[in-house]
Amino acid sequence: MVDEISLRPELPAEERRGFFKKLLALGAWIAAYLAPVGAAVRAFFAPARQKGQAAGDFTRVAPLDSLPEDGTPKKFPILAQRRDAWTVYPNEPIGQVFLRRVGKDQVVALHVKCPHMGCAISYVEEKQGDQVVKKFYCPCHKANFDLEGRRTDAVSESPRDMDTLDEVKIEDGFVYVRFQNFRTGTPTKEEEV
Amino acid sequence: MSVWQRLAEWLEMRTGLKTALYHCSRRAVLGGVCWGNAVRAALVFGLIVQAITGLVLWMHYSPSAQTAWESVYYIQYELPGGWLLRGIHHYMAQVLVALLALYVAGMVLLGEYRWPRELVFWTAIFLLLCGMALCLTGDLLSWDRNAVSATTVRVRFLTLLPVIGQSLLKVAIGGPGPDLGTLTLTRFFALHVGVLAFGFALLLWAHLALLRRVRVVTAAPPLPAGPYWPAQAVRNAAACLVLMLAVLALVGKEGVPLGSPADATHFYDAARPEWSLRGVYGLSEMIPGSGIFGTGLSWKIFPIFIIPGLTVLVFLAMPFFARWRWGYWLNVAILAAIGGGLGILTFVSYRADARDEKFQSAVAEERLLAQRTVELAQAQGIPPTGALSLLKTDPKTEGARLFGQHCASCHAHVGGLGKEFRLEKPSAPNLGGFGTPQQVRGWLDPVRIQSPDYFGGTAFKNGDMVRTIKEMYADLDADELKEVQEQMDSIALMLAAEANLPRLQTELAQQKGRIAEGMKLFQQNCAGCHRLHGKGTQSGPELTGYGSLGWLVEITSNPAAAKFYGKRNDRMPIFEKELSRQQIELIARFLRGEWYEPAPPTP
Repeated sequence: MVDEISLRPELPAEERRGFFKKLLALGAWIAAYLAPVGAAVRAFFAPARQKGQAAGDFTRVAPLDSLPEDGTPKKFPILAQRRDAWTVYPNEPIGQVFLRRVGKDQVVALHVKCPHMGCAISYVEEKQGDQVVKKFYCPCHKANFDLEGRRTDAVSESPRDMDTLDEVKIEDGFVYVRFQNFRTGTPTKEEEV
Repeated sequence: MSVWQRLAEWLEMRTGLKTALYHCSRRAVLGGVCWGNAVRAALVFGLIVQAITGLVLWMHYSPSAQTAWESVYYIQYELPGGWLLRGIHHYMAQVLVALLALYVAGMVLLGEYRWPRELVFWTAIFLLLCGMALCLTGDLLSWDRNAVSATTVRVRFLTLLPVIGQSLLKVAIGGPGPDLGTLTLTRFFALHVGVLAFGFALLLWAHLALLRRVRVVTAAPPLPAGPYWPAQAVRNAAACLVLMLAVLALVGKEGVPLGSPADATHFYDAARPEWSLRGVYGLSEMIPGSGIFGTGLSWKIFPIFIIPGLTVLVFLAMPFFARWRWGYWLNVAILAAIGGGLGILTFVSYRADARDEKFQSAVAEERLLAQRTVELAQAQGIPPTGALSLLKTDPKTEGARLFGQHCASCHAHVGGLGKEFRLEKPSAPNLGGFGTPQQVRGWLDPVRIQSPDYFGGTAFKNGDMVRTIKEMYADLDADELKEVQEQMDSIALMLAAEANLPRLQTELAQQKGRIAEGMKLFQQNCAGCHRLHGKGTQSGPELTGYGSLGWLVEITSNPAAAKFYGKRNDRMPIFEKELSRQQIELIARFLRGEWYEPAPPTP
């Protein structure tokens, strides 16, 4: 193969001319593809810069009376305007929360999504001997949380305790929550936008 | 050896990449370096560009009757780079079809169909046909009014065929019909991105492979050959660049239009095939649709199927014609006749449309509808029922359309907001600007009330109202006239405040004093016939909330109700019998100029 290269009959002058031709060919070829490939790449990676729905207003979640007085959590959907691609749905579930009564007029809201990888956490009542243990449990990677949302495993899959939604208010007998989503997988709670 | 050299050796050992590249650079172009090869390279380039842009469009496209237009809207107006992607894909398709047509014509002129090039020539013809089929299927995907209307006509042509026509139509629609729907879209989409795109690639590959083989077989040794790199490569690259620049110029100049979303109840009057089929369309226009001597077939079968079919067959037969002595010239003559004929038909068809006022107004109306849908979608987002419902609930367009359909044969609409409707001889009042002080004031003017804009064309031309107004103005000196006019202004303001049109609300709120005065004057002078807020006698129409949405809906629903014209109602239909409440409300909102308008762009 080396022999073949050295046998290539080329004159220095022509090689120079050839060099510009090569440059021209490559340049024109790249220029021709620039617009279609550029547009394609731009459109494909466009979602990286898109922002999701930021925390909106307070949403009415449930009547206060529907929450058991003993602090047993109940799961409720958050209904709000939801946007999917180009469609705007006026009133649809955009997420879920656990509401738990912790006093006569005090309610704690916990995000249903597991802080680990976003699976849906469920509330379970487990019989241990004579006692019934109430807890939260994420089935994906078997993470356990107590009713306050704190991790209870010696080594938990979850990087942090369950996420509380801090803005909760009670008005006219209804619980209102300002709903937002949080990043998964991070040790600290950060809003996901 | 450096790291790079070692890496290159490692790769070379396993892949032979270096040798391949080397051979590529030494590649000989059989038949010598030429621009004809550059044209073929441009075709390959076009195909690759269509594949790249098509793939990313595919990622954002959703083929269903409720989402197709919507996803194209998203691509065009919201996706960064989407307009360019769609623009390149659209115009590259057009340019490729044109290039292929020229390519086939060039092969005929150069006699490049002679033995043993028959298959090379045929694959070029099939490439052109396949390209046109790609355009036809791609055209429907935007699911706008033009696409659906034009495709409806196209698939309906299948019914011209005897026996199998009806079944073929259903196969094309993808269901029992009669309208195109989601299954038509999914079908056309799969044909477009699957069958036809793949078929086009396969044909192009076959065309090039056959050509290469023919060159080897026919050339006497030594083979005439030129270097691919860089002599041919620079020509190829230049051709690709020119092609792309042409496409970009078209995108920049025209953009790709997206019409209004398809509407089964609103056929597009200006639906036309794309330019490449305009000649066939023009031919079809010249031939009657009547039956052929009681055979049950229509003469239209000739321009739509038989003549185009024969044309393709004649082209396919050109290699055989060429065996005759004057065969080459016969082929050139056929090409000139068909090309020239199509050119003339195309020109005539476009010219006829350019001179056709109805066509032009349909195009203008469609453009406004399309623009309006985009405006509404950008402001409100698209509801789950699709973008068409944005238009269907829009007073500016749908209200105007309903007004045109149901009201405009009697009422003009001139001088208000939105679309104007003029009448030569109106038989009912002009409703333009209904509820504005200026419009109301006309009822209170002895001359204007008798004009065609008010009661001029109606049974009330010499009725009680006209008489009363005339009496009020009778025998006045200049000062008295001025006073009466000012009083009438106040009454008009008061009634305009009843209407409280959205665009006048702030203005009216500053006129509280005069409005109160108007109310007092009304009770003194008009309450003998009109009721207003529970006071007055009812012999003329009730005026509480005059011109308001509720009042307009009520009087439109039933003008012959006792509280309006009762038995004296003059020819106005009782619309609650023919229109839905929602439709009447749209007309009322149209009259009130009550619709979303985007804020004017800040300079």
